[in-house]
Amino acid sequence: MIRFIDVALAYSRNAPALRGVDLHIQKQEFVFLVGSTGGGKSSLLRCVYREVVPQAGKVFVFRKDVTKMAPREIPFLRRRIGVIFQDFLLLPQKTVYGNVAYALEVRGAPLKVIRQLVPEVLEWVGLSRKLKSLPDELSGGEQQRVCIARALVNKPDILLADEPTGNLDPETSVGIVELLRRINTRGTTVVVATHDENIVNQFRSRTVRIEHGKVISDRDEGGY
Amino acid sequence: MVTSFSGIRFFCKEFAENLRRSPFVAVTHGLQVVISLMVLGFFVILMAFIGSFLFSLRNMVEVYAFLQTDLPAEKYAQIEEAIRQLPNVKELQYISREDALKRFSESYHIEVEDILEYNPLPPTYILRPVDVSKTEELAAQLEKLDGMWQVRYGRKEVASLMKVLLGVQVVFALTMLLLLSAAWSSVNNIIRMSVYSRRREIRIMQLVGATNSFIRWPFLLEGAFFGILGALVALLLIYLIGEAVYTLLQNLKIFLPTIVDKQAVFTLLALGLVVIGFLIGVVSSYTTANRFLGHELRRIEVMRRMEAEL
Repeated sequence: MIRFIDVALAYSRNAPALRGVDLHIQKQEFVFLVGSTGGGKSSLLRCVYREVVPQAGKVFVFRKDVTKMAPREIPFLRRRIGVIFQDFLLLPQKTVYGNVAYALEVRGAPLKVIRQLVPEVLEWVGLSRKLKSLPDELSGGEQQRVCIARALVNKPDILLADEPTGNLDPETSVGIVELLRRINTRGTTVVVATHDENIVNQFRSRTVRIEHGKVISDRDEGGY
Repeated sequence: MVTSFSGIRFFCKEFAENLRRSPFVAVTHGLQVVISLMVLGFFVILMAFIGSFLFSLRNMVEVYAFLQTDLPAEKYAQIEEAIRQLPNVKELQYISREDALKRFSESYHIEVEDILEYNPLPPTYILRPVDVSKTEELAAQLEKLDGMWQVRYGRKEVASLMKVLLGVQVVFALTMLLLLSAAWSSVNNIIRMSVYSRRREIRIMQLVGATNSFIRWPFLLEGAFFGILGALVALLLIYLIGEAVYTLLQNLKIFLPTIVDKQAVFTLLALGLVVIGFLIGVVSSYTTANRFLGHELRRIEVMRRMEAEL
């Protein structure tokens, strides 16, 4: 599903973000990317949804090398990948329903489909009673659930979560990762970049440690 | 390309929401377009008046061709035929010796024949050239005709008129360019502000897989809307101010020569400003949005360059 072959990425000459990364993530896997802040976890995720292009190596997503992808193909790649962030990236002026519907609207989905899918996915993440609420009226955990719903509404094959629990208290964080695990059991490949030790230790799963841009360990069901 | 009804509905909804959300930006945007196009409109009107006046002077250029007096009748017919064959002749008027004498007497109140006992005035052709800049050439062609006595025209005046006309055209072109670039840059700044204030939406759109053309559409719609609305408001203001100035000048008994058709100038101006407003709005929205969307591609280019340097 995702394959990195000897990938090197640098944002400036003296700041390498990834160095010789080799990584293979199978379909329907649940993977934690761990490591210290600035170690390269987010950069690795950004390579997958082609927000950055590495200077060396290859990144295969859905069997296609995204480093060679033409700019016009990128939106179609991203339609198969859901991304969630630590800072939620929600539109403050839109309701919960509006934020989730937005992901379908910008793809030109018909109104009928939007009206059917949005309530469904919001119910699935436990927000069916908050459809008309604005993001500011929600707790951090609820905002992250909206973000997950927005990523899920397009039924992605891959879900990338970049520090999804970074702004949340431990209890809420557990709830969010449980939700991500549920998504994974439905068949979606989930990659979670985190430095939350408790979460990784609690949800034993494949754990890839990245430090200074290099993969230094890769263990099945390994802890932090 | 937007092909679906849902896409169009989305653009309209987003556009209305943006107007409601940031009325200050919308008003500033609208005012910028109105002011830029109004200045442009007034300048075009002023130039239309000055240009029409100068071009009307062109029609006053005349060439006098005096013929010899002792030619046989058939020779005069040949000369007239030869003049008619010349390429730069717009109008031709024949003044016989008798008419010339009559005109002279009327102008100077002198009976020449009573004094000289004969008519000394030659038969004359008065010509208006098609192209005033080639008057000298026409005069030279006339002088070469057999039976021609003398050719006269306001050589210095024509040369001065041509210089002034050229100068006016150059000043008009340069000022138009300046005003258009001023209008372009002020509209551009506002669009840039609008794009920047919506960078969060743009980022979300990119992440969920919207194509660049889809992301661009609401900005194009906004640009077109403000361009056309700005042009219409500018036209209304130009009309009201123009009428007020015209009435004021009439009340002050200041003579206003009718050298241009006011209605025609305003109609052309209306069409021109709406087209310019639309084009400035759409093109500047397109380029600004593209520049913003191109950030990602530029970042990739920078990284590739770095790779080559390493």
